[in-house]
Amino acid sequence: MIGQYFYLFLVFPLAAAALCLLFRSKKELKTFISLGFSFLHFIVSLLILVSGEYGASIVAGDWPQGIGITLKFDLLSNLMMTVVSAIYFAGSLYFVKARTVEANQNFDFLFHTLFLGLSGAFLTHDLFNLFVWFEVTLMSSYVLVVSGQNLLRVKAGLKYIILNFISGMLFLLSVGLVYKFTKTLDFSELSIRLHSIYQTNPGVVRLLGLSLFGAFAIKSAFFPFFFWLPESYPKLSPGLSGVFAGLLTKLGLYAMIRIFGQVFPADQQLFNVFLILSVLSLLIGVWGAVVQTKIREILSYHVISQVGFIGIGVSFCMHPNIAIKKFAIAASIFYIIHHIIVKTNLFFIAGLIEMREKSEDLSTISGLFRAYPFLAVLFLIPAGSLIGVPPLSGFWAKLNLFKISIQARELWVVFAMIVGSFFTLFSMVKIWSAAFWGEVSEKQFDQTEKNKSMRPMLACIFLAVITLSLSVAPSWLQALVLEMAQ
Amino acid sequence: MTFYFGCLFLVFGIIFLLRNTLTGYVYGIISLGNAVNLIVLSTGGIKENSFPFIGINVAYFADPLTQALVLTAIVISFATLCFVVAVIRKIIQMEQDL
Repeated sequence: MIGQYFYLFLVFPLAAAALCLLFRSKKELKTFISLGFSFLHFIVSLLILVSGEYGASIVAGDWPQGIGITLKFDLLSNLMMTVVSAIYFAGSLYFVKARTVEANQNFDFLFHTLFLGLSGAFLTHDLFNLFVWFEVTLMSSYVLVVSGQNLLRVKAGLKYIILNFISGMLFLLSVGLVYKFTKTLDFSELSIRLHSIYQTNPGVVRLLGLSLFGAFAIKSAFFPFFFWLPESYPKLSPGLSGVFAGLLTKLGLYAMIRIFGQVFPADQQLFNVFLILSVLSLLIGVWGAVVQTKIREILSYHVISQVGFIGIGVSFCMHPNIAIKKFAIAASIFYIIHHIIVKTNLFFIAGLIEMREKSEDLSTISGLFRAYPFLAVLFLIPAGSLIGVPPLSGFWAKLNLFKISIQARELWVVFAMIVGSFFTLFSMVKIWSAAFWGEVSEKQFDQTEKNKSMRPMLACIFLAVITLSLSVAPSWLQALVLEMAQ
Repeated sequence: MTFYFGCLFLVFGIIFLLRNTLTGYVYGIISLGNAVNLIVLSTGGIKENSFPFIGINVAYFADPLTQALVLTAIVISFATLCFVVAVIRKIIQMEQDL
């Protein structure tokens, strides 16, 4: 019943964006619109997930299936939509006060169009349409990145734009090549034709897979292409870097799972290439995090290493063994869901620390545990989850990856993941011991400041509650992702 | 022919972007965007004097879908180009103010 109204996920952000543009000078009204529409987005998505009525589809313009653009709301879309709308709501909550940091008057408009692009990318079942939604998302992110009067931020933003433009063009080139060889762009039709081409000419399918992988790898900061990420994310305002770090790199990973897990035929050689690149980005990300001294720079390098972890799952989606392939799709989605919530929360909390301390350099912050014990506990939940401390959600996500690696007899991957988790722990301990332990510096206990940042705190609590509920009852999500992979 | 021109522009675009200067970015985006558009256009086949009307034998006309794709792609790459030019202007202004 409610599942048929999945187009609402495009209507809500679009309406919110239009209203925010209309009432651009009225701050209170914009806050109300943002909170209202993002909450509706979250609730509708959760309702469809809980009632199990996913799977409806629309073909645009009444064209026959396979010719027109298909919008389909299957379980994979539904899971991604739910977690993204949770970030949408948390972001709207966080920006209620943090908005003053953003100089741009059209900030809300761009924030909503960003989520419009994300929602569209999860709904579409057409390769070119996916490219268009990617560009909608990226266009909003370009403007958000370069707005502000900080020269370093604008320069880093320019590099971000150029890199993403190159990846977009590579994506478009791959779309053109895929169309040349298959004469279709619809995912279900494409899957059938690629499998039949693979029987006679596997080299062509490998080429198409590699060029698509290259396009998504630049977007999601894989090993050779990660330099833009730690350069640009820490220079954004704290809340914005949380939303970007949580969602934009994961959009590329979602596209990889969708395309390599469900459309492309399994291939041993592509699997090897993807696996080696993923393990390299996992290790280089954590080693980068060890040498940084600012909280958000450490967290940015963690994004790269976590992309490596998810990339290992995505690589196993190309494994020739069908049982491993299916389990890998489930494991990658589980990891992405856990990771989006945790990563955004860590950046939001880093932003709270920054707002109170007016600094994010670990050498100048100390004694946060005594000054704000609640904030410290709030930090521990996502930090422990990112490392993979047993009862928390990260543990269950990593356990899945360990299981597949052992099943596929790739024991060196298990070793690399253990090393990666160890160094993640090491850099988290660095933040914890420098920022949270030690003596309280005098500039703290500013009561007015404390009251001001109450509503951003609610966003962090909201995300921490989701992490905790995933930790306590992972079997619910595990059952859903396994059902999705079938 | 279209395909080879596309490849030529692709090489130009990469060389310009690797120069890592502000004007290089602009020329690089222009060349790279057009290169990819030309290559995608060439995948549908280019034929003269034929129009994709329903009911005409498919062999007489070029594939209209790639042309539709390229139309969308032109808009996107041109919009990005305009935005990059605006950002570069902002950077130059901010550097002068310092």
